[in-house]
This record gives sequence, structure tokens and C-alpha cells, in this order.
Amino acid sequence: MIQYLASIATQGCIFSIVALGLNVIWGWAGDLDLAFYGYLATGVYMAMVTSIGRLPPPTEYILGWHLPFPAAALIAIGSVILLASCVGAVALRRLRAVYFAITTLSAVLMLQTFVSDYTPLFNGYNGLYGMPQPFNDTLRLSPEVYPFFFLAFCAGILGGVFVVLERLSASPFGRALRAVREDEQAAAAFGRNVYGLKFTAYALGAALAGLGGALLAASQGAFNPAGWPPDETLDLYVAIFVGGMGNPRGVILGVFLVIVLLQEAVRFLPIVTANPSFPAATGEILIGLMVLVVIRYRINGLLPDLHSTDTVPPRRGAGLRVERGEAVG
Amino acid sequence: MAERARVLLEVRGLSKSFGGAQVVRDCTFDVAEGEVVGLIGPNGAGKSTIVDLLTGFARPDAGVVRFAGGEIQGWPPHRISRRGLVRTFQLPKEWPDLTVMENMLIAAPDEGRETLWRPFVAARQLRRAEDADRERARAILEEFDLLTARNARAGALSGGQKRLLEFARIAMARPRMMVLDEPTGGVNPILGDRIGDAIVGVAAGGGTVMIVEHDLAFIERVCHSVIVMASGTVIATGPFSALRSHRAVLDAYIGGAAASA
Repeated sequence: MIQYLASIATQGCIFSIVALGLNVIWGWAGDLDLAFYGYLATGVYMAMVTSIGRLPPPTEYILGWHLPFPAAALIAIGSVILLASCVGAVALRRLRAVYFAITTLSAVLMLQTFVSDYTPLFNGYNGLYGMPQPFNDTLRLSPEVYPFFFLAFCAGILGGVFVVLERLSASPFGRALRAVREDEQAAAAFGRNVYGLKFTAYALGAALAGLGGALLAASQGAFNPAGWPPDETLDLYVAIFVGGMGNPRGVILGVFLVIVLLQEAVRFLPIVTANPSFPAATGEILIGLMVLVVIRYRINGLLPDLHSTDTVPPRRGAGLRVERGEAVG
Repeated sequence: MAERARVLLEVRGLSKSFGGAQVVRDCTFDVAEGEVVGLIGPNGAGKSTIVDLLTGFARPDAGVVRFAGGEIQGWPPHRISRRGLVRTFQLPKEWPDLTVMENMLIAAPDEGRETLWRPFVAARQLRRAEDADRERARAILEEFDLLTARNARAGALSGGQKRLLEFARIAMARPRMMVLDEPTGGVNPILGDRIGDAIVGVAAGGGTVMIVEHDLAFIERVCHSVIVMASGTVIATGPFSALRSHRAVLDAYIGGAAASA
């Protein structure tokens, strides 16, 4: 039982990192990106082909390196940033709202078809296996102990990501992204490079998907195209929405509620029907109900986005008339 | 004063069509540094398109816009804004889910604060710059009765308050030249006067202002000179008093028959 709890806590940490990445793109910059699961999958694949070495034929794939985990994770993140830059360069320039969503959905469907059918890339439909446990060739922990080490490792990385994003969220960068989300014409009128800001957010969000992908590769050991149906992205959106769009704390809460707690809890439902998809379907229904409840009673989520509050009393007599019309250019 | 002062904005032969309709035709005018200029004309004269063309929100088909010595026609809006030519919008475009104070802080010139790594290097310096901006923002908000609302969502303000915030933001930006698209629409007369005073104050401090406005009494009170447009082209320029008896202006405003009667 405790092993099981460690494993779902690990999943929670990994998906929190991934959802925090999507939160940068959607929660801050306001872009409804449906390609996001593709970045997670790319991260998983790239971490695997740089870690697993050469598997026996007929398995075929690119690279086949045997790098230590940190190097593999960095390559995974770099590849994902590269891929997201290509998609973002096309989709973020002029397309907005539903047009952006359609374009990114096409991108992820193309990617999935390509990865599934072009075997020399990542072994097609059959996918890859044999991901080594990070650091365990030096640590040599027993199979009973290792999951706890890996959980601590993932939790540590989540903690680091969280601290960085909390800082960014309250920074002028986070504020500018939200301004672009709220009204990009006004943001441009006040000198903000809308495309540049959106692109930076997109690359940052995708990088976190790549990092989460590398960790997911290590936690699962094997991966294939059936493991990343693009509609899984919607669960991430639900987690962010329920937890609190924009607020990193809310996002983590949302992931543990929606993706971990709900989906694991339904496994323990009494069997009322022989249909094997009953628990999963119940989970989806509960997620839907949760969204409705949040829309009705807490539209900004359980932990709404934080706004800086200005409490300093103003100094009198510093009115506008003393303002100087200085040049900014 | 306009004759002697340095020309800040120079517009030559500016034209723009949307589909088959030529909305702006061969417009030419100058705005001098430190001047307050009104841009007036009947509905559909092309005033708002001029504002869009000057600030990069529309690309001119032909013509030259020279600002502070360089040609800026066809530049994207953010580059023009960073060069010091900043506009407001006819319908206020606040960032609704951000607080009034956050709206003000974003309006301040960014000065490299918005890079990814900035909160992690020299964080104290960043905080000091932000505090200075907040102090300035409070003073401006107080001027327009928005100080008590500074922590409210901008989207929750009334229509008139949003208009005031629109002006407060551009005052916060301290641009070299501000282009105001109907700054007093929907604002009560007292606060409208306060906006007028603030515009005069901006000019006294060396700033340059262009105002698109239908309230001619406001234009007369605040502006040094006026540009009159009708059906896409400039029909007259000069001080307001000289235009009262200008034939083409009367024709444009009242209609040919009424003016000749």
C-alpha cells in the first residue's frame, strides 16, 4: 500500500510540473494550447532514446545513447523547446483564441500520426521500453527503497519549479503576460512586444513539459503512442481551472485533486457492473461534475490568482501637475 | 508657438483604403513639440484611422510618418510606443482582470524589467524601481479620484472611471507624444475639466498631445491649434478661432446648403 501511495504521489509531482508549464501558456499568457501533450510525449521519447542505449531488433529508433539522467533530461527539454518554437512561430504570430487552438490541435495530431507510423523515429506503435532508473547504477537502492528516493527527487524538482514560478508570477514578466492575456492591443500600445512575450511563455511552458516528460519516462520505464492521447491535455486544463488559473499553488492543488485523487479514488469503487471501463468512466463523470460545481460557485478556482495589493498610504501633494513630459524613446 | 517650435511629428501624403473605400486620402500635417493639437471632423472623416496609422495599428498604403526625426510608418505598435508615441483608445481598453494599480504599473515604461531572469538577479533594485512607480501611480490616481479603487479589478470600474484610468495610464507612461482618442467621452464635466487641466499640464511640462474629440468647447479650451478633417482628408489647420469662419469647415460640419444660407 505504501509503495502504491509513493507511486501516485510521484505521478502527482510529475503532472504538477507539467500542469505548471501549461499554466504559463494558458493561465498567464491566455493561449489555449492543445498541442501540449505532444510536448510531454516528446520529452518522454527524447529522454528514452538518450538513456536506453541499443535495444535488440526489431526495435528501431534514433540516437540510442546511454547518457546519465540529467544529460538526457536536458536534451529532452532542449528538443521540446525546439519543437514548441516551430509550432509557436507559426501559431502565435497572428492566430488567436479558437484559431490558435485549432492550429495546435492539428500540430499534435500530425505529431502523433508521424510518431506512430514512422518507426525509425521512436519505434512507432510499439514504443520504447527499458528506461533505467535515474542514479540507481551508482546508488544501488533496493526495489523497495528506490521509489521513495525517486519520489523525493521528483518532489524536490517540483519544489524548485514552484519557487521559480511563484517568483515569476509576481514579477513584471508575469504581470506583462497577464496584460497581454487581458488585452493585447492595449499591451502593444504601451510598448509590449505581444508576440515576443507570448513566444517566451510558450517556450517556457513547453520546457516544463519536457522536464515532466523526462521524469515520466523514468517513472514509467516504457512509453508508446497509446500513452499520450491528445485529449489528456483536457485533464490538465481541468486541473488548472479547478485549482485556480494562473496561481501556481492552485495548479498543484488542482493536479492532486483532479488527476491524482479523483482518478485513483474510482479504483476503489465497488464493482456494480461487469463493464471494465466503469471506474475510468466514473472518474471522467466526476471530473465533469467538478468543473460544473467550480463554474457555478468558484469561477476563479479553489485558489484564485493572486493580485498585488497596494497598502501604502499615498504621499499628499505629489499630483499630476508636477509630472514632466519626459521622452521615453 | 507652433511656428517656432521644433516639429515632432511630420505626416506627409498619408493614405489608407479598406477594401474599396479610401478612408484616408493624402493627409499632410505637422505637430510641433510641446503643442496640444485637436483633430476634429464629422463622423467618418477618418480621424480614428489617422490615429491607427500614426501608432502602427494600421499600415498606411502610402505616405510618410516622421516622428522625432525618424520614419516610423509601417512599424509595429510596440516599437512606435517605445519610441515615445503612445495612444489611448476610443473605447477604454483596460486590462480587466488586473487591479487598477497593476494597470498603472504595466503602463509605465518597462525598462528591461520584464525579462525572465530579472526577478532572480538584482531583485532589490527591481523592487526599488517598482516602489518608485507605485508612488507615482498613487499620485496620478489621486488626481482622478481613483486612488481608493487602486486594488479593485479594473474591469469592475464604471464606464467613466475606465475612461479616467485610460488617461491615468498614459500619464503614467509619460510619452513624448500622446494621442488621445476621445478622452472625455462619458466622463462627468468636473472630471472632464480635470483631464483638460492635466493635458495643459502635460504640455507645460514639454509633452506633446494630439486629441481626437467631438466636444468642441473642450478642444477650444485645451488645444493650441486644430486639424480639421472631412471625408478622409485634411481640409483646414490653424488656431480654433481662425476656423470659426472658415468656409470649408462650416460646410463639413453643417453641410453646404446650411452654410451658404
